Amino acid sequence: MAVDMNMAILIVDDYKTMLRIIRNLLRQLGFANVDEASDGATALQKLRRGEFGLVISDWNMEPMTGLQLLKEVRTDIKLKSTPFIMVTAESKTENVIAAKKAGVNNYIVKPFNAATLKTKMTAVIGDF
Amino acid sequence: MAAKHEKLFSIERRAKQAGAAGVLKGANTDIPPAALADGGVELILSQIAELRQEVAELRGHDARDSDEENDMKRDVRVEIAQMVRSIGRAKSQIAAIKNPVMGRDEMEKASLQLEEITKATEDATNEIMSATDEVERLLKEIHSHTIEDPDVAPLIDQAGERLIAIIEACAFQDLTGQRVTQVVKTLRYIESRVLAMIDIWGLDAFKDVDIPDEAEAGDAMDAADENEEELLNGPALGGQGLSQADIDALFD
Repeated sequence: MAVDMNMAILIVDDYKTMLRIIRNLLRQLGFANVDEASDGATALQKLRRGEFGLVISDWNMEPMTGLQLLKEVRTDIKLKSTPFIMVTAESKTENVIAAKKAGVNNYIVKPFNAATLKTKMTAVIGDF
Repeated sequence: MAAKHEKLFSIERRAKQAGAAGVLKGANTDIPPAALADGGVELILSQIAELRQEVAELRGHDARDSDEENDMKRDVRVEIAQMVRSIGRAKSQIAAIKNPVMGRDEMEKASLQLEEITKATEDATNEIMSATDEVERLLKEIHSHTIEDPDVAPLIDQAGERLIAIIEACAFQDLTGQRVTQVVKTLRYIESRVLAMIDIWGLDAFKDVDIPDEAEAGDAMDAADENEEELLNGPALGGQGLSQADIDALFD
């Protein structure tokens, strides 16, 4: 099934510049319907209110981290099947394992490029 | 004047009362009566003399023990004095980092400088991103005007790809920002330990503390260098220092 290029994507990062970079790269990849949140709690509120086809989240945020957000999403009946990609500078094995255990669909280590983002998104939501 | 008599022990008195040939009744001795009869008193006296000698030796030991104890007390006093000096030096070194009385705070200065790095790189990154947005808009406009020209389209595509590379590279700000945040956290931790040490001593203990100079801290420099060094503080923090307009005003 073809990917809906108009689907809503939620990007979550406490660095405004990073939000801007990801938004820009998504636009280059053809996705314009992008919303953003600067912490896990705000992201969770937005997810519960709207319909998102993908979450791209940083890990290292306060007060709710990306991992906590992921766990909340996976335990929410309405949200549990939402594709979730972690984009983070945390590149230790234990981090990746913890994210996998929590149900992450893919994991991108910063810094990354548009090609990597496209590859990981394709693996999660299908070809576009 | 009374004649000087040597003090007699009870055993000597009893021996005299019982007579040289008698038995020392009640005395706890192994000396047989025959021995007492045959110069036994001399034997007893010689044993008493030995006892006297042993007592004298024991007194000598006590005197030596007392000397050793005095030596030990002197060593403890010296060590306590050295500890007091060391604590004083530690206090002055802590005061060089953070002096609660004089308002000196090197930790705070370092933290502010690091936070300023994050802010400066964030501002610069946003400027770069805004510029790339503008270039992207201009490329689209050029494309719309030259849509008929087959030579221009590939060039516009190439320029667009390079713009993506610039956007990707801007992620450095996020990474350096995270690293700087970690360093600031470490500084805050060290600061809290220093504050805990200051609390232990109390604020009054820092009233008269001499701050060690740079030379004492292991960074010797002559007076001229030191003066120039004081001028090298790096970029001013936000809200500090002069603006270009302020500087221009000084040259008017």
